[in-house]
Formats: sequence, C-alpha cells, structure tokens
Amino acid sequence: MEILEFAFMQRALIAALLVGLTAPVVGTFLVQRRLALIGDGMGHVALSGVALGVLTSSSPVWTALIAAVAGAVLIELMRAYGRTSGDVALAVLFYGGIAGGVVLISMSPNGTPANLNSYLFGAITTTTTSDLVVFTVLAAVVLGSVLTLAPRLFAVSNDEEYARATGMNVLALNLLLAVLTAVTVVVSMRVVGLLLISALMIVPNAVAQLTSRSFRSTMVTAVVVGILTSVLGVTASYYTNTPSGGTIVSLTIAVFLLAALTTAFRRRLGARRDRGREYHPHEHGDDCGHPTVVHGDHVDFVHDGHRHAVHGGHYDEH
Amino acid sequence: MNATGGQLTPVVRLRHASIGYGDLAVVRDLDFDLMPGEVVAVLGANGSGKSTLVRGILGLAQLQGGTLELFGIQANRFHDRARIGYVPQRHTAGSALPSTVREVVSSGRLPRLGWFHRLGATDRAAVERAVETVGLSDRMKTPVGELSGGQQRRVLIARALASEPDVLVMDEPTAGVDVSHQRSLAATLRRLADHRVTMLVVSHEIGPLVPMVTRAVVLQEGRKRYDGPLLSSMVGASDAVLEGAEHAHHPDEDHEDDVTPGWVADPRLGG
Ligand SMILES: Nc1ncnc2c1ncn2[C@@H]1O[C@H](COP(=O)(O)OP(=O)(O)OP(=O)(O)O)[C@@H](O)[C@H]1O
Ligand SMILES: [Mg+2]
Ligand SMILES: [Zn+2]
Ligand SMILES: [Zn+2]
Ligand SMILES: [Zn+2]
Repeated sequence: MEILEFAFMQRALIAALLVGLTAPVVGTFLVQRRLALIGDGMGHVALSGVALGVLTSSSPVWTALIAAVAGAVLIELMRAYGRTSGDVALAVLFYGGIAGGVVLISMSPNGTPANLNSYLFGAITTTTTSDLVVFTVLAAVVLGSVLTLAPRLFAVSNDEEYARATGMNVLALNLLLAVLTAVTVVVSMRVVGLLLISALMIVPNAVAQLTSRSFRSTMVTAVVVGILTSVLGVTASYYTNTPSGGTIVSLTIAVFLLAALTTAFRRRLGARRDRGREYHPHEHGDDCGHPTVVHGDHVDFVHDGHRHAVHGGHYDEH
Repeated sequence: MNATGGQLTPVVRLRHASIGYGDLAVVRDLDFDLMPGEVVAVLGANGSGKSTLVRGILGLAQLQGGTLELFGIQANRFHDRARIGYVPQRHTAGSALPSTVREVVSSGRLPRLGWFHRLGATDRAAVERAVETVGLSDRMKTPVGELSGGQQRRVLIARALASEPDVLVMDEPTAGVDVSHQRSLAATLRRLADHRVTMLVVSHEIGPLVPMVTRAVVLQEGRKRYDGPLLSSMVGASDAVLEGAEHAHHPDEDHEDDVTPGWVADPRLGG
C-alpha cells in the first residue's frame, strides 16, 4: 500500500488504532451510565486547553490534557455535590470551554481557521512523533485502569445507588471514569477532533448493543467496530482529502444504520414467526394455580384481572 | 452479631432517628432494634416512609438526627457492607446496554472482594447459588432486559444474596413476582431465616412470608404506630386495613411458573 510509505500516514494510522481501541471501551461505561454526551462536553473544555497551548506556543496536547482532566473533575464534583442547577452549571462549563477556545485561538498569531478546523474535526497530517508517544502512554493508562477495575466500573454504571449501598466508593469510581474520558478525548484530538470524539465513544456501542447479549460482548464488539472504522476512515480521508474525524464518524454512523436496519428486519421476521408465544411465555394448565372459568367449549384462565383462553399457539383475551 | 457477655448485639439499632432528604425529614424520632435472627416486616401506606427507613439504614437517605448502629458499630464507621444484602424497591433491573443475569448478580459479590480483586471460583460458585435460589439458573446468560418484570425482581434478590449476607434488607422484594414464585421465594427465605439470617422486609404482599415473620412494625406518616407481633388483621387484607385502599392489580405482573427454583442454594442451609 502506497499510503504506508508516508511517515505522517503511519503516525495517523497508529493514532487511529489507539483511538479506535480506547474510545469505545470508555464509551461502554458512559452509555451504561446514561452519560453518553459527557465526552462531548470534555471535548469542548479541551478546546480551551488547546487554545492556551497555541497562544503560549506550548504543546497543545499537554494543555488540552490539563484542561480536560480539570474539567472532568469539576463536572463530577458538580454532579455529586451540586444542587438542582447541575445541568446549567454543565452547560456553562461546556460552552465556556468552546467559546474561550475559539476566542483564544483567534487571538494567537499562528492560529488560523484551518488550524482550528483540524482541532475540531481531525486531520491526518498533524500527529507528530512525540504526540504518538504521549497517546500510546495515555491509551495504555486508560485500558489498564478500565480492565483492572471493570467489575466495579460496571457495578457503578449499572446501578449507582446499589453500588453506594454496598459501600463502594462511588465518587472515586465516577471521578476515575470522568478522568479516563478526558484522557481519551486528548488521545483522539489529532485524528478525530474535539467536536467529534464523543461519537466514537458512543456510536460503536450503539452498533454493538444491537447484536450483543452481554455487557462484555458489547464492549468487545464496540472495540472491533471502533478500530475498523477509525483505521478505514483515516485511510479514506487520505484519498478523499476530507477531515479524518468527519470521515471516521460518517463511516461509523453508516455502520450503525446498516446494523440497525438489518436488526429491525430480522426482528420483524422473528416476531412474525412466534407471535403470541413471545409475549405470554406462561403455559396455563390444569395445575398452574390460576383460577379457571369454563366458557362454552373451552376454559379461560384468570390472572391479573383478565381472562385468557388458549387458542391454537396463542392466547385470546376473553 | 454474636453474643457478647450473654447480650446480643442488634443488627440494626436506631435511636431517636430522623431520616430524610435534604431539609425534609420523612421518618421522625424512630426507635427501632433489629435483633439477630429476627424477621421483621415493615408495613404502612404508600408514602409512610418505609423505603426512606430502609434507605436510611443503608446510608442512601440522610440520618438527620439520632443514632444508627449496624452490628454494634456506628453507621459511618461501619465498613463491612458485604454483611448487608439490599434489594431496592424498583420494578426492573434493565439498563442502557445489555447485561446478563450473571453480570448483574456478580456485581452483588463485589463487596466481598478488595478493590483490585476479580471474582474467583468461590465467588462464581456463590453467584451461581444465588441465581439458583431464585430459580433462574437456566437464564444465566440472558440479558436482564429481556426478562419479565417479576424475573428481574428475582435477579435483584439474587444480587443481594450473592455476598452471602448476615442480614437481608428487602424493599418490596416480591412486588410483581407471581404467586407461585412468591411461595418458593418465601420458602427459600424461610430456610435462610432458619439459619439465622436476619431480615427486614418491606412488603405489601406479606402473605407467603407470614409464617416466618417474627415481628411487624407499622409506619404512619414517618412515625412508628405499631411494633409487635404480626396481627392477623395485618395479613391478607393488609393493604385495605393499612391504607384504606383496595389492592390494585398490576397488569404488567409476571405470571410464569416455568422454572423450578432450587431450594437448597446457600451452604448455610445445610444438606
Ligand atoms: N429522593 C427523595 N427526595 C425527596 N423526597 C423523597 C424522596 N424519596 C421519597 N421522598 C418522600 O418521602 C416520603 C416517603 O416516601 P417513601 O418512599 O419512604 O414511602 P414508602 O412508605 O416506601 O411508600 P411506597 O409504599 O409507595 O413504597 C414521600 O412523601 C416522598 O415524597
Ligand atoms: Mg417504598
Ligand atoms: Zn396459569
Ligand atoms: Zn396473561
Ligand atoms: Zn373464553
């Protein structure tokens, strides 16, 4: 493949691999926690960090990391201790982050609109070798933490109140997940971009959810989808000369639509096959304990305030 | 919970306790002891504060006044949470992403493990016993969201049993569970009770639990109105008597009897 001869493409593809691996893993817990869009907010906050980096001519990756992690901690603390206006506080932080970022970048001498665009929507030419080293370390930290603490992160994401009742340190686990999300945002800032990274956390899980029957297999499927679409997306953006983030996310969404359509079609076939049985799995019978009413040529079973009559493979309401 | 100097330590002890949310005190000035081996039913109308009491004991609602001791230790210094099994009052156990019965029940085993420990063979066996107790062994790999409401309740009971607790705190554990499974769950709970597992049960349907209930507490508007033996007037027509309301049927209730629950599932139940 000719594209592999370019060093910048090699770096972009490795970065894409790291993103495709980490973003869906973190996203699985975020979706389970019903906090799917928190990654989007952290992308907004990270933009302020990037802008500060550009303005002060320091590495935008590090300033973005600091801003995103600080934003993550702040968001979690506001959720834990904040009063009713939690949503409003989050909005202030999110939009403050992006507004501050845009203003700061425009103030900086080397901040061009093209420059800004590549941070927002990703670009394949921007990943430096030192970025790649940082991304690899960060991705390893994210995956290591998640895999070690997966059972606990699952418990907290699945039923926070129960986790608290069993004495788990819910705040610490929530903070950890938020910080890992922030770190993932930074890993993704070169190839996917800060405005689109959240999509790569969520959409692969939306695909996986359609085909999986357990939390674990959801995560594995999401990672496969994430890696495939991010590597293919980066490759495609080389040929089409489009922003890599936009290309990756469009591809992921195409996969989702395809999967959703296929599943809907399959479900419809399945439902037609066993209608009637599916929704009434209980087999009424002589000794099932439900009161019976003799009704003409058949017997109705009374339960929960209605009368059911066995009729062929299904039950009629009488 | 062992006898110290011939004196039993209460599993739960509340003194002049006020429990509530924010500035609102729901349960007020409550004195209550739950002794080892007791099975106490908490009764009362909707909104009388039953769940708030239970949530206060578990640290989910604020203790605004008075004292709470668990196993003789001040609640905020009590850390051995695996000794308490909790079944929250919720109708379903569904979640955003598919999670299997095994995955959900396994999360109930975590309080027995250290931060970085994973489930070992002993833990997996305990999880399997807990699922067997509620009669869902053949649904281990089923996503919880695909189960009926009553089956999901049973998953939550199994999750509480997974840590092999000394006390079970259950908020409406049988709501939405069909009569036959209520009976077999009651039988299982009775066997646990025979082996000195203490229980605090909030229930509108204490019918099948009656033989094992050793004491009843009736709440009314957050205050204790009665504390003593279960009276026949509280059973059966309990809701009508306690709430002055007729028992409503839940049309979404489950009514399966396709699974025979395992009755001997806890090692403490003996052979
Ligand atoms: N999270 C909460 N925040 C504020 N108030 C609450 C909260 N939960 C319950 N309450 C209030 O506390 C009161 C008692 O509620 P609780 O859930 O303890 O009643 P209950 O006896 O369990 O009723 P039910 O039979 O319906 O379960 C209610 O008036 C309710 O409005
Ligand atoms: Mg309640
Ligand atoms: Zn029947
Ligand atoms: Zn029916
Ligand atoms: Zn009929």
